[in-house]
Amino acid sequence: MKRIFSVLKRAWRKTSGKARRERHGTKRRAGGLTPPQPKSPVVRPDRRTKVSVLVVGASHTNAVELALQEAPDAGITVCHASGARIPRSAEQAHRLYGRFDPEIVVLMIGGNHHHAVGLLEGPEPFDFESDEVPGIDLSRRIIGREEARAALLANAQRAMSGIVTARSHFPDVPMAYLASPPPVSNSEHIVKYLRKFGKNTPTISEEMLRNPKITPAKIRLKLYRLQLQIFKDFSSEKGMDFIFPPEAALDHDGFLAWQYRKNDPTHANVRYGHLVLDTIREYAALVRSRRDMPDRKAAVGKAVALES
Amino acid sequence: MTAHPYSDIADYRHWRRAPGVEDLSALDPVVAPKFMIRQEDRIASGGSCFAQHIMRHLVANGFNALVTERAPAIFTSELAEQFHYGIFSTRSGNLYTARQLNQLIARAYGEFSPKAVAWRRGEAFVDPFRPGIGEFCSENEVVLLREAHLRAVREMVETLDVFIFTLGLTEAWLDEDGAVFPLAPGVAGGVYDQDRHRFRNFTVAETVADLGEAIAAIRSRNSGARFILTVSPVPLMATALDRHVLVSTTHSKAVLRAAAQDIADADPLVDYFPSFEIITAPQTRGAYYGPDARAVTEAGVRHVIRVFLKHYGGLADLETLAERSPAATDADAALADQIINAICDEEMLDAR
Repeated sequence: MKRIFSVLKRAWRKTSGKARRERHGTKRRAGGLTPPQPKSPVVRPDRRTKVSVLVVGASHTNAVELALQEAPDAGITVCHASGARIPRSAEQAHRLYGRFDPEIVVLMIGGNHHHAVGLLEGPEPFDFESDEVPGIDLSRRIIGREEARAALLANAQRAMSGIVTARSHFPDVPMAYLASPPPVSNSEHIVKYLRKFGKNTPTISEEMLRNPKITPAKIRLKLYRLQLQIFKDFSSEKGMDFIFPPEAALDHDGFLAWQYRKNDPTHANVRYGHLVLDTIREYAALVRSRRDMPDRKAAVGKAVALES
Repeated sequence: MTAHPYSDIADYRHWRRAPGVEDLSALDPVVAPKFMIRQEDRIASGGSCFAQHIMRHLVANGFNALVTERAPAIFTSELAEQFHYGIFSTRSGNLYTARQLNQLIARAYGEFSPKAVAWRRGEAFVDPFRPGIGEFCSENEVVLLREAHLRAVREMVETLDVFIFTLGLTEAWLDEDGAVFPLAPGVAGGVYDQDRHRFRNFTVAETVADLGEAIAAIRSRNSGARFILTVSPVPLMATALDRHVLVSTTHSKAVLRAAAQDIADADPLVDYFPSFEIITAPQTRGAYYGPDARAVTEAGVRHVIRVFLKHYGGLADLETLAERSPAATDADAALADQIINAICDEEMLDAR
């Protein structure tokens, strides 16, 4: 198996904080650990590893990694970093991405913004108009779609910065953004596993966790669909393809089908990871077929719900 | 020398003796405010761009700004401002003319239903009566959010203690049913139709009538309401009349100034606050305008606020007040002499 797992993951998850500090010569700060600084950020061109498809992402790549452990694929390499460690500067990108010489890059950075904005009911429950999800609850505060979009965009800034950095690092490599999985419709499932997500989400207060009120599924789906549109537009703006989540993983209404839920309110399971791997392979095939076709759009297939 | 009507007048009545000629910071044209504002008074604001500066500083000085159209809870403060929440008491955008204010209150209470519902701006929609606040995804959304806006206007009318209104313009564009827009159709949405849309330059009498009706409409729902009128010192961005924009500016400001005085002179609970005079005074030698000779500098705004708070807020010491103003108390201090940002729909007239 020639698959390369995330360097960061190996370096960080399999060693203790003390060992990391000793290895990297870093000091502990009052508020937490100082991120390790590699001794030399210089990456020698001859050390770059050729890979077919490089998947870069944060928490949503877990499902893909687990699927690869079950069914190794030498053609797909996952570079998994926690959201905070996704490179957002050229120097950081050089350190992490400089190790790779990919044929194709698939980004799975960010993606939980719809949950951060609307998983839990805030002090003023809201709804907004959506072209894709009909109906509006006039008993709630109606906000403009542009307002919902702005709230999502504000939450997505760090992720977008990571995407821009990756795009800048691999300017000539075919690249796609692969959307995060849709929300689950079942509120009980969310409540059951809420604490883990809530603790890592600044917009969710302790009070909200103590007495959680889940936003109606339809409104959560509206936010998700709006997020898809935002990232699709953003991908297009940055010269990237956009890959929708695998259709097979959706239920009749467009939520994450129950078979793909994880013991987690926002992430999908390893079965979903297998579907994503299939989608990535289809995308890679598509990219390769494009090379031989003068009309780029003619190569866009139906199997991968992809837009460029 | 014989006595004459001017022989014993107070210094402030005499140009040479009134402080401010030598020392601009001493310029204080307020003599006897009709009432004081307590910190707990709910202060509503609306009007031209300049009104938002007064509100901003009142909040910074601990006064109780009444905001009845609040930002969605999912918004950060930056987003709230971007979407025009908290700039005025409601998300009204700029109310440049007295007719606009009068019609806004009438619309809020179902007494006037304009024909114009929504304007197109490219693929999006805007509210013809507040085109600067942002875009909407559909006509239905314009209507839904306007209903919320008009509810907020009613809440403002019925709960305010003091209403600070800044008159900005006399030039306006009207629809065929008389509905007055803050901007000409076509500038920030909609399509200008010369058979339907009419230009109007309101006179003193019309402005007095509109302002009087608006005040009466508020009083009929809130008998204790007090009013402070100001005139924006910001010149017109453009005039619809075939004459120099400076001539239109002086005419417009003169009309507004005269109308405000007429109203204030006739009503013990309506006061005129001379912010216009402070900014435009010859004593400033133009110091309170920026390089474009239009935007007001932060120093000018701070002077206005110092005087306002001294007389209406009982915060007497000018230097202390200067230090309390937002620009002097945070990182904006370095920008104190730069142009301050005001959200101004009229800026859209600058686009060619």
